Amino acid sequence: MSRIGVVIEIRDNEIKDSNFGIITAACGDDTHDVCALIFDNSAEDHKETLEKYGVKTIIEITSDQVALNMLPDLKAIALVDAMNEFDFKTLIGLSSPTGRDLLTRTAARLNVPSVLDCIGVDFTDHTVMKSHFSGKTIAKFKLASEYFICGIRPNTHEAIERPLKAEAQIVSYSPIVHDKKGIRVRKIVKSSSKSVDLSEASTIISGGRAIKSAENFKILNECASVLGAAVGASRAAVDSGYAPHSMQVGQTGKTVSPKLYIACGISGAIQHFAGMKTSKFIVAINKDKDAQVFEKCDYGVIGDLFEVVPALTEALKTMKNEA
Amino acid sequence: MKIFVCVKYVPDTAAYVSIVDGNGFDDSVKHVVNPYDEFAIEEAIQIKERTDGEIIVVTLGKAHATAAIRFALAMGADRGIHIKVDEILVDTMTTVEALKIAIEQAGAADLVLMGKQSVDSEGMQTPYYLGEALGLHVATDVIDLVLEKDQAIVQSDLGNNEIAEIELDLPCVIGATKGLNEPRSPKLPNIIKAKKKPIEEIALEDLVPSKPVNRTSLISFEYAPERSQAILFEGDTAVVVEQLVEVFKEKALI
Amino acid sequence: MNFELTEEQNLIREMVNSFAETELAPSAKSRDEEEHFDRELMFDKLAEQGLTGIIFPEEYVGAGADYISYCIAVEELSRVCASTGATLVAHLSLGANPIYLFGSEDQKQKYLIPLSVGEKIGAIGITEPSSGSDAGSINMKAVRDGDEWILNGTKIFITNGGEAETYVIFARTDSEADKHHGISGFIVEKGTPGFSFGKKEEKMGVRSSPTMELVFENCRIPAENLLGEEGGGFKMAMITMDGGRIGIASQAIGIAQGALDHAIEYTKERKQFDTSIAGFQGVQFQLADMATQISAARFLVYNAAYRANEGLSHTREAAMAKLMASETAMKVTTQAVQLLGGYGYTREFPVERMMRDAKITEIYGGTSEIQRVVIGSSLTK
Repeated sequence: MSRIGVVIEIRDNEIKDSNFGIITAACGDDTHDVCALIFDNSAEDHKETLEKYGVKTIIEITSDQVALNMLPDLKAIALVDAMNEFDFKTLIGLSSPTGRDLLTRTAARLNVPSVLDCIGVDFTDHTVMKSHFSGKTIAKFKLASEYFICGIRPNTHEAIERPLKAEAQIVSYSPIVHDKKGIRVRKIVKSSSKSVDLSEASTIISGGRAIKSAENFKILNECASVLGAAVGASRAAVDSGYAPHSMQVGQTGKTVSPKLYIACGISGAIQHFAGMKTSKFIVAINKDKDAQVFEKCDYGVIGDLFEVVPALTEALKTMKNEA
Repeated sequence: MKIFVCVKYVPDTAAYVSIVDGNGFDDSVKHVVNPYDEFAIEEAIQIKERTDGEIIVVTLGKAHATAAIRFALAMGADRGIHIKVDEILVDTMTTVEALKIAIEQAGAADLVLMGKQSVDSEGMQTPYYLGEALGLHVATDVIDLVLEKDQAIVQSDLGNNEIAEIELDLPCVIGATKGLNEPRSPKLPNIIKAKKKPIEEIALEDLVPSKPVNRTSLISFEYAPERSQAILFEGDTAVVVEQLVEVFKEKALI
Repeated sequence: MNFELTEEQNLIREMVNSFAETELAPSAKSRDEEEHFDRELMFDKLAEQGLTGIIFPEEYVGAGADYISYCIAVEELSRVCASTGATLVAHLSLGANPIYLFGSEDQKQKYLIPLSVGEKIGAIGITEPSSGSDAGSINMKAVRDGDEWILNGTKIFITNGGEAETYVIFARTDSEADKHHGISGFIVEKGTPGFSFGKKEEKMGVRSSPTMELVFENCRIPAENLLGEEGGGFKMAMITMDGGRIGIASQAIGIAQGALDHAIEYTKERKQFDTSIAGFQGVQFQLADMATQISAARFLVYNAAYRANEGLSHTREAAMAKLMASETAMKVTTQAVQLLGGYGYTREFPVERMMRDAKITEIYGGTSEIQRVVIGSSLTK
């Protein structure tokens, strides 16, 4: 049984939901020994959750000397050491900014190929599927190497619980690393908003040029809070100053892959679709029945977003209250 | 300061990509400078305007990719190196090896800039591998760059409304993204002047006689599945919303 | 023989194309409706891009580009906004170019450089109420008085009139000499006493490009403002017009291309009998003809521009280019309106504006009839 290392991302002391899908992918048909990699001492807190999804081993990678999470190069070196120590050459993680950073530094360190943003992986053949040409094509790549390192686009694999008979084993690993001080994260600044993370959200509601002002985003925010959704924006909305760039979905913005993407007043430019094409369900709300977006969505509402969205929010609220 | 900027000539996002023989594509469509690379070029020019120095643009691509270098030269870069290839797609490991040798041959870099990813292959990895190959530290998703005496202080966008402030020793490799600056469009007189700036051409085989064994290879291309005809709702808002909520329930989306 | 554009020419096309799409397109419709010349947008921004002196060498703070690059720039501007194309052609080919070609070094320093960098707008004055673009039949008078010339007369249909600061004015300096030798050129600045503006024309097309009447009543200008030699005006006007025709032809190509682009986009989207009408052969044949005619005209324009650039004779080629390009623009825009049907006739879509704009290219800078005269006489002389 070959071992697969899965880098687990933890935020605010909780495992990010999008991790479970990639754990499921790693479990495959139970032919792999899935080993969760955590870069702090919280394995005990997460043991129960990880077991539920079929994780057999949890490795805590920490350092007594340095804060690994602030030293990207050392973190990669520690991971390489762990791969040697625990004998696994297959490594996956989320293709999130943090995941991409660690996985690619690790692969570069090993001088082996890796692929990010995969929407499909085959652990036996060492092949991956990934989007190419801004989502227009899907390319299949083979990684010629004994190593197999890839980052998986969040939400592309559905999480399935598969409880274990045996308890997961926790192993602590503290490689000796020396801080050469070449690169260091000084601090991580969080913006005050407690909104749902856009790139890993399972539901996203986005506004386009038709939203007309920054204030009007509150219509989307209200709907989002009922849906538990993150709020995004099209480039047109960002360029018009209605939303900050951090909210931009599409080319030169974020790539997202939620279960449900609701595009409000977005015309449907190819550059926007480049960032959300792999969403499971796309719903478009637009008053222009000829808008391009209707050609590329699953469900379309021809109507004014200023009427439809508040009505939707109310309907969802009522439904919630009834439940 | 000697600044290298790596650029890629990519099919315009708006261009239709037609797959040829299942593992290639028709590259006669309109090409542009990779949009993320424009941030890197602009940053290099702004640094040069402040501190003086030389900007060398490096690209790896087919013959037509000189247009990407010309574009960067018209924006304000000083000279170009074109690593010429015949294939349309070259893997990251080979590309990095070629870029590394080309950069080292052209002199010690004080800074290497590039876009954080290309919009065609969407790899997002070249900055890391090139940094490792050159023995330099790397930061990517960079939205702000401040150069101090021996260090670069960057703000890196981690998504989720989080920004990391990273310090790294110079020289280093920076992956630029939107927010770093507003790339200028080349002014006409500069386009004409760019004609006189030198572009050195080197064949890939001369830099990398044999491709690295460990690399990715493309097996196949297919068109991303298109959505079937959308189901459209129109008419009374209350009714339409009811229908939509039904769909959400049915598909377990809420 | 090489039909490929150079990398620089391609870059210039992309640059002007994106400038036109982002800057000019949003207001093209409203400026047309309001007959509004937005100087900041339609001229100052061209200057920022280095377009106002595109063909002049660096010593006159120009961009040093070739004539084909200039054609490409005018074409890309006109594809989106023919009025801006008209502004640039009148400024550069007609206002600034004669100063570059025939001016003294002092005149170039004083007048050409501000035009080239785009601090000032240029214009030309040939047409009069009783004479069209025929510089030979000019009636306006210029009389020498000591160190000055005194101008009297009226010029009409002057593109950039009122907005321009620097005018090249042709007037009769010798009523005894034959019609080709009694004309001289002068540089006249806006604000010179005795020089005023008459009525602003209300036009069918290129409505955001100003067209005005110039009135000279005992307008005194210094003797050194004589352009070239006394009596050399006719020849200068004819050479200037050759360049102007290449510019207007480029404008016509741009208008036609803009209309074709809209027609293609529309026919691909418009569904009839469950299929997009672009799939119908009848529609495809029309689009094919439009594209072919535009290509043919464009090559005539580039040929004339190439010859101008190389210093070869190009009077006939410029006339052919303008004749073909302007008639193509009229045909193609009319066809585009037809392809868009009812929508094409509404002001919601830009093709009706393009059709109105196209018409002027068959008229100004010498009508199509005049072009045929020029071509015909060159064949039979």
